[in-house]
Amino acid sequence: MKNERKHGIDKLFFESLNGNRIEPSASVWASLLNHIPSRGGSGLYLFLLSSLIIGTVSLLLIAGLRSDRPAGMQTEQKLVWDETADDIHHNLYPVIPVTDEEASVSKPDQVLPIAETTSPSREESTNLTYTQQMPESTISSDPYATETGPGTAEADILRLALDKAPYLKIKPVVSGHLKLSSGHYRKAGKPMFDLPLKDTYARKASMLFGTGFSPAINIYPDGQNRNDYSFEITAAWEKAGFIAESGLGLQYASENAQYQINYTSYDSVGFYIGVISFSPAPNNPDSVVLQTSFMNIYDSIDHVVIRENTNKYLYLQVPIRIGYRLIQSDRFSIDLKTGIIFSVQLYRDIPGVPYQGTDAGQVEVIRQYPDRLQTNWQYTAGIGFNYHVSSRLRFTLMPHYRQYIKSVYSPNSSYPARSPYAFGLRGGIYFHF
Amino acid sequence: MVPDQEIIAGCKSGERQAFSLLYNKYAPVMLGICMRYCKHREEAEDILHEGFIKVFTNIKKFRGEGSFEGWIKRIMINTSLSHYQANLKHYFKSDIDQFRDLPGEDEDRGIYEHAPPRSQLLGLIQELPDGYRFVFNMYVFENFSHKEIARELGISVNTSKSQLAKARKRLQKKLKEIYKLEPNIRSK
Repeated sequence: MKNERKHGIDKLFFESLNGNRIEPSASVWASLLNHIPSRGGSGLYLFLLSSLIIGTVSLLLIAGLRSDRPAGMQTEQKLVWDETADDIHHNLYPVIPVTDEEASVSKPDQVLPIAETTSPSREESTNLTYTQQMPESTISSDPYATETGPGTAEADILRLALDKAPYLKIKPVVSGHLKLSSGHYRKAGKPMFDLPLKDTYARKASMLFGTGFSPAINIYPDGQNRNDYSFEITAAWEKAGFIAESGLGLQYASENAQYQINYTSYDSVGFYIGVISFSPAPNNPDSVVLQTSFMNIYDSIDHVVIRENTNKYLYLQVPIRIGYRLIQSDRFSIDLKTGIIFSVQLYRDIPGVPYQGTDAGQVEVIRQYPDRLQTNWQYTAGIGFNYHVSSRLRFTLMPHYRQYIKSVYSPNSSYPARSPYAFGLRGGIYFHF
Repeated sequence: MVPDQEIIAGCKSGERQAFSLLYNKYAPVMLGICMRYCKHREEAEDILHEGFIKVFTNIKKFRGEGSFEGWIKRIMINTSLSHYQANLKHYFKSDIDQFRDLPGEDEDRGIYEHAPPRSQLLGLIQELPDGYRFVFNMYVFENFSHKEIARELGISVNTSKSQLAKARKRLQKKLKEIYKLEPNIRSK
């Protein structure tokens, strides 16, 4: 320890005040109660919950749409038959055998006769229906028998599909490879969802531009909820189901701003009986008669009032999102998107609370809200439901979740860091140029 | 008295009772510290509040290396510093005089022998200008060196020495005034 530390005045203060205990007022603990962290953290909990909900909905949608295809139907054979159709062969697709010799080159003249292998004519279909009642020994003649033999699950499923085909309005098209009893694979190559519409509006790869508006509700840890509104212009690139999107946007946000106003006023604090004058008593000259009056006592009284106002902010936003197309039909598609939004504060309107009491003196206004940072980062995730009006235009609705990556408020402020999260609905259009 | 380890473990697992125990155990001591760094009790309670929020949210990061009380104390001091940071920068910029040391210790030995009441001494510290108060507190109570104070406050070592000397001088003057007004303190 240096000699300086032995200075008498240092010792005097150190010995008197070191370890000094002062009981804080009860209000400190009362306000701290709201800031005791919960187990696991509410923000993380909500994020996981929303992710779980979005994931579950997506899986259910996928499962629901794919349930049209019988499980285990691993074949590329196109089963096309409509009982009401006059010309069955128009619906058939050529089947190219892939034998050892033909593996490298397939020639049109080497295509097997369709009727013998894959295309069920009306008569054949009838026969197939009968096969359900036939003894197993006769099933071996079934042209659809698989490698594993007649009566197996694969063959049964295939027959079932053929039997049910007359009742299907949507052509059941399945993909994959079926190893036939001959040991050969047959190819078809059609998309799974081959809806009988005129045109396919959903494009496979493209650049598109869009605009959207998104109201959202911001939820603060202290229960103060406020809406914000965002408007975006974005450019997106889509290929093979993957989506990359960025753009520019404006966000209007507001929040409650609370002020504590301390002021003093000159108020009456009591009274006393004051003597105004006195005079000798007319009947008794040795005594006096006092004339009194109630006199008010005034003093400076401290007052505290809490006032609230609304602060408004405008941010320039740069969203960067990536996504994946979960479901694609001709007119309808569902995307899962996630990303970050970078925001820069462009404008703020902080009206304050000017207090002009008539008899107030020494007014002190104490701000009870933290400063917002000039920039912030938000994480966002959402599920977009798209309706393709035409090959160039689509409408989209995207329920989404946002969470500030760090506190939106300045760490230097004497208020706790808060990271509000938000739920919103983004509506917009996309246009292919 | 519940040991610190149990309180820390309880807080880490999110038990509300543990946070309450932690506060009850350390809040009075920490308010005593905050009072030395602030001018008013209200400010000190604000800093105590903010400091405890930091303690609560960061307690999971406390690894048990070193004293738990020291860790909380450091948070309170840092919170006080950040609270006054803007003012301090302004203050130190305008106060770059070279320090002058105090007169010899023997000269006024008498005034240190009998202490005025704690509240009066605390009041004297609180009356010091921000810069004097921070340097005096950090040097005398937290045992910081001038180099450490200079680094923490973003000032030069000489400025730190100057602030300490001026703080002492002012306190000495105030103490003399107190002894003149209340001679019975000296004769205790």
